[in-house]
Amino acid sequence: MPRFYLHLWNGEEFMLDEEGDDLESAEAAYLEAFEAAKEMAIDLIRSRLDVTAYRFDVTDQVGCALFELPFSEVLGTSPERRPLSHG
Amino acid sequence: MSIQTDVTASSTMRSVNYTNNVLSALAPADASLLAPHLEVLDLPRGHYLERRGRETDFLYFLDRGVACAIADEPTGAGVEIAMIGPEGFVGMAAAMGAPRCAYSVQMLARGAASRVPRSVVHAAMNQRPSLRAVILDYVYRFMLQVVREAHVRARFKLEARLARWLLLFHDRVEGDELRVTHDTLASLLGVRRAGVSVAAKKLERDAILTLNRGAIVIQDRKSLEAASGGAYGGSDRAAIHAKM
Repeated sequence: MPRFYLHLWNGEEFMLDEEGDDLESAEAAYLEAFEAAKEMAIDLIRSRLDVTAYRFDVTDQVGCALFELPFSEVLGTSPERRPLSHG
Repeated sequence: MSIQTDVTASSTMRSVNYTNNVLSALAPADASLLAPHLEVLDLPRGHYLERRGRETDFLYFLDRGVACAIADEPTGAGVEIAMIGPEGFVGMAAAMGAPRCAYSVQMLARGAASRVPRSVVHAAMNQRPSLRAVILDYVYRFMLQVVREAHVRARFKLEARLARWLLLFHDRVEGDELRVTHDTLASLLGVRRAGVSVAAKKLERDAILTLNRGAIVIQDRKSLEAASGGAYGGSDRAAIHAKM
């Protein structure tokens, strides 16, 4: 099974993931990152930190960037999804 | 569960000199009731001492090593509800007279235990109030740990829960190197691995611990206690008081 790394950006610096997760596919890695972000977001809110500053940068085992997952996505408040207000 | 099984358990008969705190707390006359029935087992990491829903025929008094009680469901992996080391025994259901265990118990760190048939313990408990008191004292301390776990799970953040977990483990093993992977930690704490790695890294950055492949080394226990933010409580400390 390929290994995926979930590097954390907190708005100021990266926290590199040196462990990684063995997962079947990039899609599975996305779901894993989503669930992890969901859990971590709760603690960030409890600490009154800005959840929207956080994101995962997910790479494969050779360090190739696969996708980014902004924590705002797990809150359902990412700018792309917010309905436009008219007037 | 992601604790790897090394090999199967093997047993040998052995005489006195207990390192288990419950056995060593027994008065000589009480201990002599159990002594002829003690069987020493080598317990590899990953070995199950109890399985949810199965009958439990023995009590296991750990001499070395650490076991964890896991509340598991037929549908998936469970979460840890308590840790058991040389301060106690495995076999609550057996001690309390329940036919089956409601959770599983698995070795987290290689160790050894003296096991005694439940019928022997029951007969001894009925015969000797002083022996019963020693057994029940640990039953109560085990319960306090589960109470603490429930509180911590509801009120504390992952970093504090991780700190408490490491302290509980550190209390029960020799030395400062804790052989446990982030995967296992995540599974026991009931969270995703990535969150555990981030929390562990923060503790490493604060020079509280160092992370090696498959091991976490405690560098500054006092600061780790502080990092638990009160999650590691008085009852946790008292549970291993006899060892300290």
